[in-house]
Amino acid sequence: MVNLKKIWYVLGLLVFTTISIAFVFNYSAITVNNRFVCGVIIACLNILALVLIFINRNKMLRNMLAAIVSMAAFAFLLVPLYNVFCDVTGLNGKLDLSIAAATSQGIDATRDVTVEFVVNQNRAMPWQFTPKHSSLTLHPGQLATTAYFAKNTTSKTMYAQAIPSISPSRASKFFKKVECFCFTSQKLGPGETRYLGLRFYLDPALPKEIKRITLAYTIFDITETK
Amino acid sequence: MTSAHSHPGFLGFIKRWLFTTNHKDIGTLYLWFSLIMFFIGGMSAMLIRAELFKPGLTLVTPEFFNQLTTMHGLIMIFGAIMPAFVGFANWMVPLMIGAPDMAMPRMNNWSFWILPFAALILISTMFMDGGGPNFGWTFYAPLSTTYGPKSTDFFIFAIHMMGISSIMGSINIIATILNMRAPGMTLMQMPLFCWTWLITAFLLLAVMPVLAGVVTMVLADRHLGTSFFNAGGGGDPVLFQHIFWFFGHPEVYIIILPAFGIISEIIPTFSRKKLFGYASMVYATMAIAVLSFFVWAHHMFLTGMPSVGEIFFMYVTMLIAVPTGVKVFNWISTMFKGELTFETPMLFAIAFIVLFTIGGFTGLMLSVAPADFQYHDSYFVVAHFHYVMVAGSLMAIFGGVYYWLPKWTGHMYSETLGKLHFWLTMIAFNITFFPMHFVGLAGMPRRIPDYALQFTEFNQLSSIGAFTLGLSQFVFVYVIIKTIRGGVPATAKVWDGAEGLTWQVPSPAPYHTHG
Amino acid sequence: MAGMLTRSLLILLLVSGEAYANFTINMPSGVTDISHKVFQLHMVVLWICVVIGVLVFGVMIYAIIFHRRSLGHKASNFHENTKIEILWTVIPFIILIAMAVPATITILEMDDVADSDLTIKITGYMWRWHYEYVGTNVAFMSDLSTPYEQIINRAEKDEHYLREVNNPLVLPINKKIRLLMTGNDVIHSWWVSELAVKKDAIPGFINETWTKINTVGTYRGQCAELCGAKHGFMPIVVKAVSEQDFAAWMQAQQQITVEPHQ
Repeated sequence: MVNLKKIWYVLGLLVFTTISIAFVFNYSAITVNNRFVCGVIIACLNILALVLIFINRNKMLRNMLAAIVSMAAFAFLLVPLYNVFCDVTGLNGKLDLSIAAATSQGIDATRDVTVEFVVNQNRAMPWQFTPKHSSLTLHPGQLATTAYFAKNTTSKTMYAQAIPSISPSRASKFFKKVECFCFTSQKLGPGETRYLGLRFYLDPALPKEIKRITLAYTIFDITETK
Repeated sequence: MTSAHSHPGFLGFIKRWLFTTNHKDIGTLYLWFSLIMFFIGGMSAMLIRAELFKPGLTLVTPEFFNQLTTMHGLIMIFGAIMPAFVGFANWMVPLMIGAPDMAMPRMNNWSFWILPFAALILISTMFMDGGGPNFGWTFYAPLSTTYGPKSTDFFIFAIHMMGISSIMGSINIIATILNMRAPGMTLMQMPLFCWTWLITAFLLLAVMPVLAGVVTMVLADRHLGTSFFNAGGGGDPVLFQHIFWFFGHPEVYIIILPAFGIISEIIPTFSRKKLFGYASMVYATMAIAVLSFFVWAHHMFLTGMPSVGEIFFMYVTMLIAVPTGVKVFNWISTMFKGELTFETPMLFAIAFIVLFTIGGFTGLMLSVAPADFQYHDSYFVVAHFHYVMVAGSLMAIFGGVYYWLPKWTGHMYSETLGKLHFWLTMIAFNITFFPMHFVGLAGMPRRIPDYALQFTEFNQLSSIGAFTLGLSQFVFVYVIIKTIRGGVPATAKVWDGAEGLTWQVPSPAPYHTHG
Repeated sequence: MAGMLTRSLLILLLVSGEAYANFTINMPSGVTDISHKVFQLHMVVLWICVVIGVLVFGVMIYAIIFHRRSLGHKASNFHENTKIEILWTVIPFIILIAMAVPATITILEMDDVADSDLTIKITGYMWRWHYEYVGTNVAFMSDLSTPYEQIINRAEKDEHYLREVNNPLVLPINKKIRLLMTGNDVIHSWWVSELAVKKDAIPGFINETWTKINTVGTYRGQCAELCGAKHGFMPIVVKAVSEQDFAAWMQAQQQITVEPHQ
């Protein structure tokens, strides 16, 4: 009754599904919704694929349908894959929002690197948001501390998310954050002010030709999502 | 046509066309649909060029202008060009390979009838509150996700419908070509048009699901609280561009490969010489299709890509020029030392070779990443893609229609009128689009309703050309209708240089052919 | 054919130089070393394409004229020639390599952001640009300054219609200037043709490029990424001045209290 050849399809799909879901849950963005939607869609596509494969007697048709469903799943897999690729290569200047090890390998005292701090308020976000230092010069490996002054200038409680971005983008792999207010969303009541801290160091493996790094924070209003 | 006799009366007419599973009928439906959409897309182009005739906002608001440019792109690509080629595939592939019909005739009917439904939804968005889609046919995030009008969700639905139609059509074409060739016809013996469509169908199967994916992500970002493309939620607008162009670049090869096939049928017939280098034409087409998956980021050179990425994508994009060049050389070698005559299909084919190659040259210039920093999002790009899509795909479609109209209708078209249509189109096309190279290089960005004074002269020239081009297409419609209704009876062979199974069936081709 | 006529016209015009009355037909050679290199790359590739086009179309035109049935020419029989196919696969490949080498060198040169003298943060808004001189308190919005009456055709359009702003970006010549770009809302793109600078301004991300202007002057550009209704109405004006003039201007600016964001 059970066509043995079809077992390969089922096995393949199970492996594919497991890997996809694992990927999606580990590497999707901050919002839970992304993971949920991606996971649901990939699961549905795989069920659809199973159904189509089992109701079809024609091998060519089966293969074509498998290809179509795989490509659709691939599109959704590109979401976590993109994050993985950016994390691994550091391209895109996207910072890994995970906490770095508290100590580094050692300090490279032979060179200085200047880190500039700039801020952007997305879509006229009505908070004051200014860096305490406009720049710091330090040795790679040296632990540095700075802060940002934030003030909610409205009369309502608001939530904000700071998204970091680094230039040149290939330096982002070497920018290690030990403590950062960007790891979590920030809540400020009406008129409330706060100093938001950042502790970081530069990995001594940073290429020697990079002497100036710009760390930009864009602060987004995420009150609606809370 | 025998079919008309078996479906008498008005109800019979509706029943026949609504429920047909005959590949010739479905081909006809696709071609008429494509012609209607061509005029609708053309109307939006006329409005665009009317606004751009002079600096200053004269006819439309900037908001509406953005809707016009978006709809023009969507309708022409998904409503005019792609369905036209599917129409040709439906009509000609079974005839060429000796098959009685397509592999799945009922699915074939569905593939077609989804399209008018999708087109209606898409066009109706212009009349909805907030207007139609206004973010370009490329619908970049966050413009489409955060700032798109309410109708964006209907736009997404229409895209899904069109995608499903294309996917079903491709399944049919692959199954037909691989399973239903006449006994003894190996793959390397079938007409090149069938090869180019086989490869196109594989491309469609691979990338239409990706388009479906990205458009669903846009929907999710709009309504399901996801942040695929919103940096605030940890997403990335550039991710949209990666996924979109992973579809988008193979898409443009989907738009040109069937055109290559049509040209490869026309040139040998009117040169009275076999196609030069059939095998390398097949391999070149395969090479173009495979390479097309590795070049998507050349649309993204300006997003802040690291140099290593720019270099990689530049190299691979330049590489596509090699197999494309091989095809051009092969067509010209087919003509060389042939016995040439210049009926209307041949005129369109020759124009295709010249103008598509010019478009290919500007494509090569665009692939040079540092130079692209100046070309990107300027009218230079607009000129490039109109040369390859209009002088390329559209002229191939015109050529194909003239070439096969006698087989479809049983009558020869008027050669005088055909040539008139050709020359009007040829001249008007160049007057419209050649000056766009100049204004693009001079610094005019694309997708703007108003421009600085130094761009005036060439814009006026383009607009005059565009109106002439638009009006000239009425000659085409006239020729088609006139030929359907009557004309010099066509023989089975029609053209003295024509070869292949198609030209062994009578003209008009009987409702059921090849068994 | 019309296509070829207009192409020959282009060649003539390019050879003769540039501007005819008010309009230009070619990319500007520009005022930076990079813009000169980009222009040269563009011209080299263009000329290679023209030469190949002339040769290839020449063969086709020859066939059209001499191999026509009406002249009595009879069709030959050949439809294959492996040697020539290999030749016309390899030769274009070599020509491509010849183009790729200078292109690669230019990319690597454009990538070098080290040792800059001044950093400007450019933010694209719907529908204007914001400039901030990083490390100082000088920051301002730059809006289109063409009067609305001109746009709706109630007044005569002035010389720099749609390419003029209230607050141009003032930069010193002969200094390497680092440009940081970001978007406030949607993706915009900052483009000044004469500097050969164009870069997308993406919300939530920072992009980086640089320029070093050689000549004093005013250079105009436009937003180059569809960003909504007024995408065509957010121009860029860069005023490049001598170092002394720049220092004086910065002095004056720092004494004005400016609001960084609207």
